[in-house]
Amino acid sequence: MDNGASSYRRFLDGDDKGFIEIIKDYKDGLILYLNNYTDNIYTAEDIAEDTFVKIITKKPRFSGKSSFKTWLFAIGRNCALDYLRKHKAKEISFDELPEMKKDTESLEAEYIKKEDHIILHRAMERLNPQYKQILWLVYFENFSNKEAAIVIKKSIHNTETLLYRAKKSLKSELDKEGYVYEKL
Amino acid sequence: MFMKNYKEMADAVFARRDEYVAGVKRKKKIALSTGLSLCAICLATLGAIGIWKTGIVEPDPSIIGTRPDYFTESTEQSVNHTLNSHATSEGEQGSTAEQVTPNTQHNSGTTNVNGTTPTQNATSNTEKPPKVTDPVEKPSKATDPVEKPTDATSAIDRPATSTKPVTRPTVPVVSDPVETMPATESPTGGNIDATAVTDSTENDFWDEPTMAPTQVPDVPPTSDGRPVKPTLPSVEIPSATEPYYTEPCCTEPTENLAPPTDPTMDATDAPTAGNMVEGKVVDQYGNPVKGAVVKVFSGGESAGTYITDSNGYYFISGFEDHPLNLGFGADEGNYVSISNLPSGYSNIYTAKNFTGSYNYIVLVCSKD
Repeated sequence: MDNGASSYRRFLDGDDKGFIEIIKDYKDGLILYLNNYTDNIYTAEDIAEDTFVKIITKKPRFSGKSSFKTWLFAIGRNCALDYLRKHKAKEISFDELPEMKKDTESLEAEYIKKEDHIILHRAMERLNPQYKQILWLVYFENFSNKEAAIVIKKSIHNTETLLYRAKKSLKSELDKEGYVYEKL
Repeated sequence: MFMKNYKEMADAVFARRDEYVAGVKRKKKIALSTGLSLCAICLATLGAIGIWKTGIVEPDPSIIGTRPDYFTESTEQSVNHTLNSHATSEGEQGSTAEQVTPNTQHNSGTTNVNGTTPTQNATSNTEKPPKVTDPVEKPSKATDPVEKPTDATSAIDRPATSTKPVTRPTVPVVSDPVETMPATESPTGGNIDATAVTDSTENDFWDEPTMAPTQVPDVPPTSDGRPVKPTLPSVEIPSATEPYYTEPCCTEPTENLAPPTDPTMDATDAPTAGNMVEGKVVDQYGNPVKGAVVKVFSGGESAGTYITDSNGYYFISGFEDHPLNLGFGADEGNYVSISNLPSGYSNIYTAKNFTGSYNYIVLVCSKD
């Protein structure tokens, strides 16, 4: 059992600190993942908060068939889709753009840490949203193809195909900027 | 930096969790109170329906749906009549007084609960009808001598104005019309209204031969065998020396022959007729025969018919001459006659098989 699952178990047993640990461990990664859906870091943060509120109030059962992170990201993805279905695209004012770019870079530096990964993440911003989502799960959250398939609710074959195309697209983008990423 | 750190996000998440829990509790409370209210209403309704179906509680017709005694239709009419009388015109006192007279007579000497006359209440308070004791609507039984013959003496002493006005006409089915006794010519010489005597249909007045000084014309009997009450003919007050009822000189058992005695009336003041035939029809066992037809023939013509009462008594008067023929039968038209009754005597006559089926013993007492 991973740390997230044990923390969630403690939370279900009445220890709120367990859920605080979950927020601490998975907040940034979830926000950056949801940012691939919203293209707005603040909206992604709100959706991440909604995801935690949904878990803490509904207390869904975690069966353990997948990792807790996979289960959490799947819930976050559903919340993001619900949000996009209700709110469509959120317009961003020009005043918010610098602040949002700054917060995004700060979060990247805090979460990604490695410089080459940060360059890779910025190159992903110009890709198709589906490519960004699968690349984030595989390269930044270290999900396997099966776990990524569970999160995005696609078959493994479709996930692998999508991942192949995403890597090819990312490589072309990196080539434009003169970067070479070994794992692509 | 607009983004929250994990602590701020945790606080926001727990705050929203608390709001959510509070909202859920509030919704549960509202739902619970609403459910309890609905359940209480349903239980009360079911209980009421159950009680109603079991018939434990049934409306008392004497209480529910009846207006108070002091507020009756006749009272309304009386009040309205009085109001109309006052509102008609003050200059027409003569005609107005005639209209008001019946009610004022009835209301004379009577006061309502407030101690004022109904007219005063009607004029002072027109919105709420006053409590009027209407002797017309509910006459006291003591004021009606017909209702209780035992109170005849007290009833006789009561002034006639206290009795209700009788609008009942004389019996229209009388074949031999007789004069209606006016109120002032009652046999007792009192103020008893003669027509008021015939008012009650449930009293036993007509069952008592001492109280029935009438000649019964040819009137078909009612369904229960009782005669239709005729009007009182003119009668003469017998002399005090002549007994009203003569003990029959026979060997028949006399316990059934004694008429019901009225303690308030003796033979001297009992109304009698000049020519009368009275008696009792009994069967071979001495039991009174109710509903037997007794008919008097005078000069070959019918002079009167009477249907015996529940005690078997009959009383026929108002015919003129003797000798008479008496006919007895179970139904009219099938008589066994007793001819040539002597005048001035009382006797027992026996007529057997006058119905063709049963033996009857007929006691006939006749006198002038």
